[in-house]
Amino acid sequence: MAGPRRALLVLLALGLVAALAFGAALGMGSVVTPSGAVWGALTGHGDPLATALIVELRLPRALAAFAVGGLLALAGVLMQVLLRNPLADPYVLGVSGGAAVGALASLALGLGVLATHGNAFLGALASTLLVFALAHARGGWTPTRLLLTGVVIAAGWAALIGFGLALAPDGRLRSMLFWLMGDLGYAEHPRATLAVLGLALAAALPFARELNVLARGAPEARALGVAVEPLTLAIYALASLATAVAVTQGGTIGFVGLVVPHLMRQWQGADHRILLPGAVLAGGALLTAADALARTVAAPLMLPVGVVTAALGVPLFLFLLNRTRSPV
Amino acid sequence: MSALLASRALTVVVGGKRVCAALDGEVRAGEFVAVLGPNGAGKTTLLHTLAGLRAPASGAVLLAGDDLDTLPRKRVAQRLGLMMQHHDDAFPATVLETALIGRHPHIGFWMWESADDVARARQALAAFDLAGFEDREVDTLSGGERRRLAAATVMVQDPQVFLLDEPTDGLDPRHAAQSLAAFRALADAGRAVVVALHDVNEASRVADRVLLLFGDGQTLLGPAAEVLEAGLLERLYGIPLAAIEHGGRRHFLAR
Repeated sequence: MAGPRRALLVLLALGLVAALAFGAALGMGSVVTPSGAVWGALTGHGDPLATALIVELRLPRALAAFAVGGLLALAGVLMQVLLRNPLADPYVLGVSGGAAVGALASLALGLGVLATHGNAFLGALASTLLVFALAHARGGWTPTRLLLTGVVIAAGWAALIGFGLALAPDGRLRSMLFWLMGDLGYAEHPRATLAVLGLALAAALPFARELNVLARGAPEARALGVAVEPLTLAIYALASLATAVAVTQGGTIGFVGLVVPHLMRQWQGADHRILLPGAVLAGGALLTAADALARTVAAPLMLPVGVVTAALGVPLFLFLLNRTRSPV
Repeated sequence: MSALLASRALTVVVGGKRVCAALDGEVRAGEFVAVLGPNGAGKTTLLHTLAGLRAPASGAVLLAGDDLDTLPRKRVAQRLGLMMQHHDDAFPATVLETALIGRHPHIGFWMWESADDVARARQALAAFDLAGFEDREVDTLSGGERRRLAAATVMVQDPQVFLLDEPTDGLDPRHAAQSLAAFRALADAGRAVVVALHDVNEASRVADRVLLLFGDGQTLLGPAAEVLEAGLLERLYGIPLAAIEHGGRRHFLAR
């Protein structure tokens, strides 16, 4: 039986995991720093070179990884309730496709980081509005309709992306491909991203119990006193915004938004009062650890973090899916 | 005593077909009303309209005198509970968690369920023979057990007016009788109960009054003893019926 006490215990445990992931991310990289030196750098008593490496390079990157992972997991939970489908992920409604078209066009034209970010964000929002408008056009606003519209729009974006890649100059293809696979090398505003994550979670949490009811279907939720339309709209907007910010900072990083909510549900059930903050912590921890690995395994080469999340996510997901009897 | 639920000149249309036309009806505290009609006559549509889930073509539904349209959904859910025919269990949940969902309209924005809420849920589960099922996953239940869980959930909601859509669907005879008896007891304790049924004999066993939906917009609402008679029911279902008196009750058999 879920209660506030268990929620606290679960969140404390996940907080500890996130802290460990953070420690690893600060210590790992092309040069492995021992934990004592990491602590020294953070408290300002360390060797100046190590301090510069950790505080100026690794810390912002770890913060960005945590924020993006948290945003993706949060968006995943919200999209899954919205579409009443545990297979939905933050990108299912074409958000990442729109962002990718914006970002890749900027990269192909050789525009700067700021323009790439701005256009990715605009692309994500444009895709969101397009899917919503098309799905809503005839009044019927069912999860299936929304899902189908999103999938079709995403296919359209994929075609545009292919077109862009075919036409792009060779020298820029590499950065475009990295962006498509998810790469935190572009994350420029870790603290702002973290603030967005905090605000998004704070906005979603008060509605956690209403989400529990909504998860049982819109008619049942309405019968139990939930104002379904405003709530769905708010979830849609929040999830899209969280995804847009995450994609803008990290490109299209797969699996976090799908795997993390799923694992949390298997572990603690589908009570959103635990699921929302739990998924944020777990998603943040997962991406922080994955990015640390991406920077380390092939050092001095950096892998796109999306490669690592998929490498971790695919076997983990299949293993857990086969271990449990329950279909979801 | 005034009506807990009333319809005023209520016309309900679904898919271009009339379910009822200018229906005036009332359900008072202590009453148990059965809604009968052939498949597709609009029993579910009518219940959903009475619950405010869909708008009527014209007319109004009054909940304890207030127009349903003007009340916030949460206030409605505190006073009116709907047990639906289908359940969408897209995500994992235990039986106890599912029953506790019924407390939602009574719990404040930021609050968790209290010990009292949990006690109510356990009591309701026991009333439908689901004691000991608390920690079972909902997707491991049989169809009949899932129906009983839905019945327990609406009981946990504790409204003044119960709208139940085929609560005995898929239940074995013992549990069907138990479910109807539980809701009959709630009516006797001063609640109002409206139940869509497909079994005439269940209606004859528990209902005070019966509403017939003929499927062409015609309706008939009256005391069970008057409405449940072979001629009317033959017209309702379009098959020949035999009425048998047994144990002070009328039973109907297809001839």
